[in-house]
Order: sequence, then structure tokens, then C-alpha cells
Amino acid sequence: MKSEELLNSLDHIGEDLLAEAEQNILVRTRRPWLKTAVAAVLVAAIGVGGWLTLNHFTMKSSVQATDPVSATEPAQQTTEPVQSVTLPMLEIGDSWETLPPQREHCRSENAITFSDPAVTALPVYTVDPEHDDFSYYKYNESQLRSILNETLRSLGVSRTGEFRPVHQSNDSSEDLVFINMEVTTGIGTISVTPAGSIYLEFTEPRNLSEIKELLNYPADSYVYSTDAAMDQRQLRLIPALDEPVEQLLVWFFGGVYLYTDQADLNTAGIEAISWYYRANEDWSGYSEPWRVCLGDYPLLSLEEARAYALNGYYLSSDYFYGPLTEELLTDVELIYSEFNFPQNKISGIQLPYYRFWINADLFGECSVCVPAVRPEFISDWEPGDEPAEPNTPAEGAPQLVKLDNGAYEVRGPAGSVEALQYAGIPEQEPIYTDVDQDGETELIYLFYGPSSDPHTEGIAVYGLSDDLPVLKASEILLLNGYQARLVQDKRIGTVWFVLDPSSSAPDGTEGVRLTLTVSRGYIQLTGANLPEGCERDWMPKPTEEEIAAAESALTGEYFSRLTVNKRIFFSDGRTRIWLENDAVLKKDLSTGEIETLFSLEPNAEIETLLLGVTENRLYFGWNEVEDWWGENVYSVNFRNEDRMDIGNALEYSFANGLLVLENFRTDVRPVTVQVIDGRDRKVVQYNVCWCSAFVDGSLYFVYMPELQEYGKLEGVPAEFRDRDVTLSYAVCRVDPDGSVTELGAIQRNYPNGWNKESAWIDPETHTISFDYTGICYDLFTLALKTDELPEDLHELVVEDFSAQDRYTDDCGNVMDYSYSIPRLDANTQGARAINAAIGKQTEELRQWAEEHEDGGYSISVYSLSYEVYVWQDVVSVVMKKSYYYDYTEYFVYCYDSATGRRLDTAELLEKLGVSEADFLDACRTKFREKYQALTGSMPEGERSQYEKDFPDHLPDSPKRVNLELAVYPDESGELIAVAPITSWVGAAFYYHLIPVLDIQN
Amino acid sequence: MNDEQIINLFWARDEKAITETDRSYGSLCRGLSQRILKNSEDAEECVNDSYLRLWQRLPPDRPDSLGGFLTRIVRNVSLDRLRQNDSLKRGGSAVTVSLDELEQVTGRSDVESGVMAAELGAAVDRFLRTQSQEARSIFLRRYYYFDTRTEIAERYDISAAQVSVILSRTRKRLHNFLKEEGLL
Repeated sequence: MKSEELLNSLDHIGEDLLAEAEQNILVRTRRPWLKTAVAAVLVAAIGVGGWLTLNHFTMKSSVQATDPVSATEPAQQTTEPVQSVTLPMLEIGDSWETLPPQREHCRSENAITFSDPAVTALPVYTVDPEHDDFSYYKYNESQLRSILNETLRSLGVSRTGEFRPVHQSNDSSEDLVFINMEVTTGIGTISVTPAGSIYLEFTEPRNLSEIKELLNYPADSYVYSTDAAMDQRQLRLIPALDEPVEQLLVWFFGGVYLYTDQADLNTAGIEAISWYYRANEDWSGYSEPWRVCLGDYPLLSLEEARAYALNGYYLSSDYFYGPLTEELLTDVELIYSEFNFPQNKISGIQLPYYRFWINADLFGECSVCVPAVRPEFISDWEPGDEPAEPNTPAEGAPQLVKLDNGAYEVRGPAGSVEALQYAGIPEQEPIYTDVDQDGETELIYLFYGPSSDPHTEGIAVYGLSDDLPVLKASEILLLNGYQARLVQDKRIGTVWFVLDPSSSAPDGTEGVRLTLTVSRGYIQLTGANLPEGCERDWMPKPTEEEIAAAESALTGEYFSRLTVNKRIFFSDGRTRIWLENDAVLKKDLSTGEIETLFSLEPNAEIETLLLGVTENRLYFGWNEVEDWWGENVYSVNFRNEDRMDIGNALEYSFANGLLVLENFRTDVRPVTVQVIDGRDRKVVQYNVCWCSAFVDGSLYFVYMPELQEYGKLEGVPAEFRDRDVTLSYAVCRVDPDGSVTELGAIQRNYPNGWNKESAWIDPETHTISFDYTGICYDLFTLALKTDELPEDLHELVVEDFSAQDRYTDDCGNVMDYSYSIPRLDANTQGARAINAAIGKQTEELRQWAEEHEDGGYSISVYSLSYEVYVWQDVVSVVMKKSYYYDYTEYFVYCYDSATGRRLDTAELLEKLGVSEADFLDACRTKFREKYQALTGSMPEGERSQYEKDFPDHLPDSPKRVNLELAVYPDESGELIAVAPITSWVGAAFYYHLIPVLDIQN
Repeated sequence: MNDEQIINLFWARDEKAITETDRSYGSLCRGLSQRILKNSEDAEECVNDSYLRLWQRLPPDRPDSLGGFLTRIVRNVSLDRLRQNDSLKRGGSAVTVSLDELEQVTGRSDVESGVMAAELGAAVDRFLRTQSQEARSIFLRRYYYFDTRTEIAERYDISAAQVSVILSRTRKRLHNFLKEEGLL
């Protein structure tokens, strides 16, 4: 044969191979086991078992011995030295932390044993830097057709239709995006994505045997099941291969995925299969296309790896520390690390590790690992020949201390759950309870047993909360030598264990009962027949003396709620009632007798709180752990155990036998306020409340009177929710005796938002403010305590600031000024509002007066003064601001000393009993009169022309006469208006104080 | 424009088909031809001839891969031109180098085997599919596309020496394969 024939024959090479050669990526996979004579020749010639090792790592010798390149290379090439193929150094980083957690990852009936001498090298993979952002290969449509053709050939099926590119619309735009190429066949539709993911959806579902036959997998190929995301089961069919290395690699990287809902794969339920296309591959195939092989790296033998581990040269993501001995080793497996996927970028390397499983008393089952690749190829792992120092706990981690009684304690600084996990103690679900009674729930982490096997020797009991300052030291109590059996599952409040089955507890329970009580106010470990030092009291209980001292201060006839050393009691001085574990206990203080009043149904998911005690009833709040919708309240008559559900409450107050609940339910928004007496009567219930706050045992709340009939917000018609609708908001106070007082009401538009945190108390001014979102932000500010009024109401107004001086501006003008700024001296909402308004008007002048120096700009206000008028209980402050250019402004602040509120014009008129119509008529008349008097000297024609041209400027126009006018009653019983009177010279108008009405009568 | 759209232009006898083909594959074709012919004017002529042949083939052909189909034409046209120029054996071209190397596979023989090109091509195709992607891609880049070792090394970011070794081994394996197949 001529070489030219061979050259020409390449014209008949498949297009897919040509397309593959067009790519710029070489996928350097492990070379398949050569089944040709060449391999045998090579092996025989070299005389060393394991051709992989030799061919890859000692190229020089093989090249020199057998490579014909030197004989046949053209002249210009023979001068080029033949280089040995070297493997890049590996940096393992923290790849060992990515080892899959499943211990059975590499287990099956065909599992590999690692004493196989043929396995002396394995590939290490890295991420193709061209595709580390999941961009994958982007096979074009032509290449995808080639892939499909190849797939059809491999499956031995023919297509029954044309290749069809599939597009779908992009969510973010109307563009159509190409998603895959598909083709129909006699068995189903095969599609391939630009990334090379092939999906075969069967026309008729198949069973496992049929799949194996289709893929030409050996009959003993098996299915490996893992838990994928969303609780899905992921099934992968792994071909059974003869070569152990190939088998191992296909375990990790190969096979096809099965899609079925059926549990039994022998039924015809497999609807589809998928795998990644690899240009070089048979069905053993290696999955994700971004995986690139760095080379086949020589391995440590199992014996070498074990020796390293026992010498202390290992890596561990479990919190194992201490010397590793042969006795602790239970199992070993070979397993590949995973890539990292931080923020949608793939990084890291995949290399094999030996993972040694350990079972140690203190740590339970954990593992350590040793890189399976020989250390001379790893830059950041250097095991030595001498034993390494054993791992020690990190600084701050608990330290193990053995007690004289044989038990162990681990003590250390209070820390996090991680510190405990470092100690190797497996964590259970935390307990949620408000241990320190501060209204915030703490998490108590309980660790018991070195393993989940209740018969394991020894038990660790631990209570910790990051937020609990009382637990300043991390403590683990390890009762070594005791057989432990969990008697009752963890509940809120109490965990019971039984130790030492040879003994018995007083209640007949086998063994010694160890009780860990985690409850409000204390954490305690108690038991009988325990070694000395095993009992623990993490939080001190109040002494009887302390409780009695608190009770001695009680004077009322009703039960009061007491908190003593973080424990809650209810007492009326004669009887004490409290919640302990799952029982409500009652103590007769005169006889000392204690009885169980009521038993709660134990439930680990529910936390119960005793809210109040009345003459015959207990009030409980209970909520599901982690349920933040507030307490559910129910009441039990402890004489007949009659139970009544009251509803949902977020806040409550209990005093004088009265329970006040603020209910918060998502279907009753805003809130409902209920007041319930000792006989469960609802004294009052207000619906559709807005916000509330408790002050000194009284509940202040805002509710909407017009909406009471609707009960809850869901029932409120839509028309009431319009932003333009004005509704009433009334402020009420509920006192401990159940009486309700309405303190006032205002009108506002319906807000467009809900803010339940909209009532707050100012402790300095002792005011309570109610807020609401939406159009307006201020609703009410109430003074909860008002000062006594002075006899002379004029004394309510004091001078807050005064300044008089002569000023020379930068032009040499000498300007005298005099400023006197008033303040209402009252601790009320109205006074605060007025003072704030005065401040706005005067702040700039005040600051200038305090800070100015001569030589600056000219000032415009030369005088700021005020007058105070008192008419009945209305105190009016009239502030006058005079300008250098003959202009004067008046600012009127009317204060109702009876209510402590500021009055606007409409409210003032109402208080004075003046109708708006009368007021406006009077203003029009008086203003016109004043105007006539001021403009009488104008030529009639000129004035009439102005009046005709500027009708809005007329003194009695709607623009001038409306409820925006400032008015005040003077002390002679006249209503004075600050009137803007039209001027046809100078300013458009000037303010005049004009009496408009006589209000004496 | 993708392959299918260009093929549709050919089928519609729209002359834009040539323009679009050149836009998509012109540099590929010219590079391949130039490697074979070592002459830019000849290469340009061959590429143009190839476009004409493509116009004549489509329709009725409707190849799955236009690029593969076209490069096959370009290669053959260029090799034919090389033969016409009687340059095949003069040395200095990539083809000559390739032929020399492939003698490792065929042996030094001037005797035609009588094996049909298609049969031989099918055998080589079968062989290449048993090789790694690395080996066959490098083999085809060398003996189909006539890339130099340096160009192959640059394309795949490996050393030229590695390319030599891989080619050498693959040739050896091909030799053994063809022998077993009874084609040698």
C-alpha cells in the first residue's frame, strides 16, 4: 500500500471525527486498556507490570527503548530533543473537604478492593479553564447532528425523522433561544443540548433489563441511588466492567441516569435516560464535559496510606483529634473529591483519597483521609517519616477532663455549636425555650450519646445556647461506663435517659433515670444513684426564702405574676401556682402542701407558658416552636378542667384578675383587643384595631369605629380601603379593672400600609405615640400623665429665647433687632406640637442671633414678638414677625388647655360653638370693610379695573376667606382673624388683625 | 448564519449561499488548501473551485455538516492540484511530510494495494474510533488538515514533542490494526 492511498482514504473519515478535530480542546482521559498486541509487546518489552505507570511517568525510557520517532522523523525534527512527559504538581487545597458524606459511595457487590496490584495509578481531574463558568462546550448545530448520529449508531437505532433544532423563548426577552437538537427514533426521542447532555425519552417506558440490553451493559450492571436535590432520588446505572480501575472510574464519573417514579426498576417504568456526550467514549463514559484529565498519577498503596494515617499524617473534616490507633480503624474506601462550585464557577481538582473510617468513644463515627496520589506529586501535603504530633483541639475548644468518679467532663469557654461539634458530639435538634425569661427564645443544643445507638457505652448530655449568658462554660457530662437508653424522646423542658439497666428507678423504670430539665428559668441535670458530681444545676433555682420575700410584698386580693430569679410564679399570698416541667403545681402557703393542679400534654413541638391565674382558672399560652405568630391562649378551669380556647395573642397583660390580650392574626388585621375576666367573660372586644401598647398595666390602643361591624379586615368592604376615604381613628385605654375610656379620635385617610410596630412609648415625656404608614405618619401622641394647669393660664406660655442688639451689616447699615421666642410649658401632645411649629418659624433667627458677627448680610426681620390671649381654656399664642420692608406676618397657635391639644381653625370654631358658615360670612364682611377703608382714596376706575383683572385677590374671595385663616379668641371675647387684605400697591396683600365675631355670647 | 440556513440558500439557488459559505468557512478552507499547496494563489483558486463544486453538489446533497463536507472537497481539490503540479513528491509541503510519516504505517512501497479508498477509509475510521479523542484529533489534524506539529501543539496547548509521540504511537497502532484487518 502506498502511503498516498492511506492519505486519500482519510476522505472517508466520518464527519463527526473531523468536527471533533476542529475543536481546540483535547480531552486527555485515561487511555483505554489496550486490547491489541501492541500493549502486550510493550509490557513484555519493558518487563514491568502496570503499563500505565511506565508509559505515563517514565516516558524517557520507553521512548528511548522503543520509539521509532527518532528513526523516521524528518531531518528538521530529529534535532528536537524528545522530552519526557511530566505530570503537573498537584495542589490539593481543601479538596478533601468535598468528599461525599455517604460512606457507601463506593460500595456495591462489585466493589473494588485496594490490594489489587494492577491499580497503581489513577487519573486526576481539573476544570477546563475555558468552561469553568458552566459555559460548557458549545457544540454547534452541525456538531450536534453528528453527536446524534453517533448516538444512533451506538444504540443501534435509526432515526425516523429529521434532525430538529428546538428553540424556546427566553423569559427575559421575546427572543427564541436554541436549547437542543432532537431526533425521533423507533424507541423514542433523543435530544442533545449544546453542552452535550444527551437525553433519550422512550416512547414506551422500559425496565432495567431492557435498558441494559439497549446500552449493551453487562447483566450484572447495577444501579446506584443517591439523594439529589428536592428530596429526589437520583438513579445512575453503572456498567459492570472487568477492569477494576475502569470500574472505579465509572462509579464516580460514568454511567447513565435513569428517570422513573417507580420504586421497582424491574417494572417497565423507566421513562428516560441521560448522559453526557464524550467524543471518545463508550458507555463507560465520563460525565461532565468540563472535567479535564491532568494525567494518571501514581498511587500510594493501601499499606502506605494506612501507615501515614497511623503516624498522624491525615486530613479530616470531622472534629477528630488525638492519636489514631489501629483499633480505631473500622473501614477504608477509595473515593474521589468533588469540584467546588462557588458562585457558579467550578474550581478545584478531583483526586482520589483513601478514607479511613474510625469509631472512637468521644467522637463516634468519623473519618480521616489520606491523598491516594503519591506525595511527591502534591505540593501542599508533605507527610514525614516520623510520627506527627497528634491533633489537638483548637484553641478555645472544649478540653476533656477525667473525673475521679470515672466520668468525664469537657470544659471550655462558652462557644458555639461548632465547638461542640469539634468535640465530636453529634448534635440533635435544638430545644427552643425562653430559659432566662427575657421574652426571647434561646436555643438549647442537646448532645447525647457518642452515637445514635442508644446502647453505646457512655452518654453525653449538654446544654448550650449562644445567647444564654448563664451558661458561661461549655460543659459536657460524659457518664462513661453506663449503658444508656433513651426512655422518652426529647421534649421541650425535659429529656429523660435511663442509665444502667441493672438498677431501677422509683417509678419502676429500668435503670437509673437521668433527667435533664431545660425549662424557663433553669437547666438542671438530676437523677438517682448517680456518681458524685454528675448532677448539674446550670441555672440556680430561686430559694424558698427568695420566693417568700417576693410574696410578702403582695397586697392585692388577686393572683399576681411574680418573677423570682428568672422563674415565674403566680401568687396571692395564700396560694402559689407555677409551671414546672409539664405540670402546674400549687402550694398552700399556710400548710406547705404541694399538689399537681394540672398536667400538660407533653409535646416537643409546643412550648407552653402559664399566662395568668384567677380565682378558678389558669390561662395558658402555647405556641409551636419557631412559630412566630404569637401565643395561642386557652383557659382551663382547674376545678373541673374545662378548657376554653380564647384565640391568638401576641401581647398580654395580667393584673388584678384581668387578662388583657392583644390579638394578632393574619386574618384579623390589624389587631383585636380582648379583655377577659376571671370568669372568662370578654369584658370588651374591639376589632380592627390598629396599634397598641401596655403602660403600667393599662392597654392603650387605636381602633377604627366605622369598621367594628366587620370584625376583621378581610370583611371590610373595598370602598373603605380607598386612599381617599377618610376614616376615624379612636384612641382608647383599658384599665386593669376592665373599664375602657375613649381618649379621643381623629380622621385620617386609610393608610396604604400596615405597620404593627406602630405604637411606642417615650419614657422621658411619658407619652405614647401611635403611628401609621401611608399618607400620614402621625396619628396620635398622648400624654399619659399631664401636669396640673396653673391658675393663670397665661403662665403656660414662657419666653424661651430673647435677644436684642444692634447689628451693622457689610454695607455699614446699622440695624437694631429684637427677638423674643415663646414656648408652651406643658407636657402634652398639643404643647409639643405648638413648640415644634414655633421652632420651625424661629430656628433660623435664633441661630443667627446666637452666632452672627457684624459685617455680614443685612437682616430682614428686625422684630419677633408674641402675645398670649386666654379665653376660657383656650390659650392663644400670637407671634408677630416684622420685616424691614414694612411687612408683617402673624403666626397663631391655639392650645386647648383642657385636652392638651393644639386646635386648628375648624376645631377652634367647634370648641367655641361658632359655625363655619357664620365665621366665613363674618370674615367676608369684615375683610371687605377693611379693604374699602384702605383703598377708599384710590380712583374708582383704577380700583375697579384691578378688581376686574384680579378677582382672586379680592379680600372676600374664596382664596382669601377659608378655613386656612388663622384665628384666635382674644380676652375681650372677640374672634380675631389674621386677614390678608388686598393692596393694589406694594405687596398683593398685607395682614391685618381684624375682629370678625363677638363670641361672648 | 448556521449550516442549515446556508444549505437552504444553496437549495434555493440563491447566490448569497457562496457569500455566506465563504464568511463561515473561507478562512478554514484557504488555510487547509494553503497548507497543502504552499501557494496562496493556487490555494485561492482551489477554494473557489471548491465553492463551485459545492454549488453543484447542493442540491441534491444535504450534508449534516457543511464544514466537513466542504473541507473534504477543498482537500481533494487541493491534493488534485498538487498532483497536477507534480509537486507531491518534491518535498517541502505538509503533504510530503505526512506521506513520509504515513510510510510508517504502510511501509515503503510504491505498489498500490488495490484496496478501495472507501474500504480503507472505513477501516481507518473504525480504528480512530477506538483511540482516545486526543490521539485521533491529533492524527487528523496532521494527516487530514496537514497542520504542522507546532500548529497542533499550539492548538491544543501541549508540547510539540508530545505531538510527535502521540502521532508516532498512533501510526504504530494503525499499522497493527490494518495488518490485523488484512489490509496490509
